[in-house]
Order: sequence, then C-alpha cells, then structure tokens
Amino acid sequence: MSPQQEWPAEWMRGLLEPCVLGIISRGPTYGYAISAALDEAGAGAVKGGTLYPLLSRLEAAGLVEIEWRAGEGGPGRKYYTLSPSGQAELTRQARGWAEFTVAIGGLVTGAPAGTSEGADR
Amino acid sequence: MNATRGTEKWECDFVLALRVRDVPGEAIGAALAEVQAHCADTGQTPAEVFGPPLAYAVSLALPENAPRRARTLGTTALTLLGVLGLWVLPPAAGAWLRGESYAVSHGSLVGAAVLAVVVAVVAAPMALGWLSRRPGLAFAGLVVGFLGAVLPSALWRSTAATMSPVWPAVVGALAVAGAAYGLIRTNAAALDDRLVDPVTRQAQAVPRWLDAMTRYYALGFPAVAILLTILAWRAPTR
Repeated sequence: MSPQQEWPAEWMRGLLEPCVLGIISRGPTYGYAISAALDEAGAGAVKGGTLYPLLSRLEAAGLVEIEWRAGEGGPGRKYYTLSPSGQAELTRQARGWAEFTVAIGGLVTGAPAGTSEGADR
Repeated sequence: MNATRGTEKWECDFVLALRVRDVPGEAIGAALAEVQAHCADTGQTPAEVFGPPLAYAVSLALPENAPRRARTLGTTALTLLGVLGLWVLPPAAGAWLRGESYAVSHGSLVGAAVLAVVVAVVAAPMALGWLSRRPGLAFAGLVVGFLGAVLPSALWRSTAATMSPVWPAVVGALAVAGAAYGLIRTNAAALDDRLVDPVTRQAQAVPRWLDAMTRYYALGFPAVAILLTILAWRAPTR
C-alpha cells in the first residue's frame, strides 16, 4: 500500500466518514490538516466543499467536539476532537469495515464462491 | 488584486446566503473563519477550495434560527400594515382637517389590492431569497408594482363610497404607528444577531449610520404619513 497510490474516487466517497473519524481519533486536528492527512494516505485532494460539510454533519450529530484556537497572526483554527459517541461510532464503523472486507474481498479477488464456508460443490 | 476582490465577493455571497437562511451570526462567523483559515493554509481562493458560495452554504446545513418563518411573516405583515395605513391615513386625515367627508374612489380600492399583493409577493420568504441576488429585478418589480398601485387611483376617480373620515383616519394612524413600532423591534432583534469572531468572541462592527438606518428606517412610515397628510389637507386632489 504505497502512500503515493491514488485510490478510485468512488471508493473514497463511501469511506470518507470513517477515514475522517479515524484521523480525528489520533488527536485534536483541524480541517486543512485532515485534508492533508487524507491526501498523504492516497485518498487524493478531498475538496473543501466535501470535507467541511461532512465535519459540519459530524458536529451536528455530536460525534466531534469543537475548540477554537488563535492562529499565529492568521485567522483562528477550529480544532476537532472525537467525543465519546464519536469514538463509539468509529469503533462501530471500523468493525463493519473489517467484516465488509472479509465478506466482499473474496468476490473482488475472484476466489471461487463459497471458499470461505468450505467448497462443497 | 483580482484574487483578493474575488475572495471578498465570494465571502460576501457566502455570508449573504447564510443570512438569507437565517443562520445565527455566531455560526456564520465560525463558518467564515474556517474558510479563511483553510485558504490561509493552502494559499488557494475560496472558489477553488469550496466551489460556488451558495452551494457551499447550503451543503453545510447549519442550524437556522427557529422562529425564522414567523419573523419573515411578521415583517411582511407589518410592512403591509404600514403601507395600507399610508394608503388610508393621508386622504382621510386631510378630509377630516378640511371638515369634509372621506370619499373612497374605485381606483384607490384597486390600488390598495395591487399594493397588498406586491408587498406580500416581494417580502415572501422564497422571493426574498431569490430576489436578494437580483437587486435590479427586485427594484424593477417594486417600480412596476408601485405604478400598478398608483395609476388606478389616479385614473379611476369615480367615488365608490363616502363615509366619515374619523374612523379611517384613526385606523390608518394606528396602522402606521403599529407598523413602525413592530418593525423597529424586529430590526433591533436582527441587528443584535451579528457575525461573531470565534476566537476573539468579538461581534462584527457595523458602521453607526448603517446601524441607525437599519434600526430606524421604519420611522419613515409616520414621517411619510405626516407629509402626505399635510399635502392632502393643503392641496386636495379634485
């Protein structure tokens, strides 16, 4: 998984929320740093018009907590931290993702149907 | 310089779009600061990062002031009340001062109806959001509406009814005073909902003349009523 590799944009669309929750779970961070972390991981440059509405939704749902900090000379920065319910949501989505990759992974790699349950036909 | 001007225009359009949706000033200030911080970090323009300002404002889905609908309807009703008061008070009070009876013409009845429709349509919430981005069209609509209201009373002068001027004058005066009072209260509440810097917690400064004008423009109703009453008293149209 080289960080330089660009994944298909349509994969990212569905996975943006757990990715963002995961980045925020590492510690307080702000919008531009989140988009830089996504870019670094190979998710490509996520548009501000996509990222910030998602952050706004997470805030409205109480999954993140907000703190404004003064920027050095520039405008202030809005820092996001995962709330307890955000942590629970990340855990839930991470478990779902793990189950999804197991269930769907066989299809994508072209393994014969039913191999995971034992081939019986 | 062009980029700066483009950024300013984008930010103005963005704030206006959120204002029209009646998002509280504090939330608008925070959304704007986040845009500015991101652009300061990347050196890009807001249009490059966030796309068109209206679409971005909508996509944020920020919570709106709860009584938005009631407030818009209240402003519409108060403006309508004031305009109809202006329609009734000057001719009635003028006739009263001259010791004559108040003659309502067919034209003024038609004009009042046209006026009511125009005010209600222009101030309706949907029209407000749509027209605020087309000031030329809004102005043209008001001019056409005003002509539609004034022309019938100027052209169709036959008397529809004659009555004592006392009650029309009293009701008209109450309508004008009530509209001015209600609008000043509503505007004061809107003015106190300013853009707030999320870091310094400072409310955006508004030029004093603009503050005073926004707060007290409704005093124009009684001022115009007095002026028109004097005109109707001293120079009756016959």
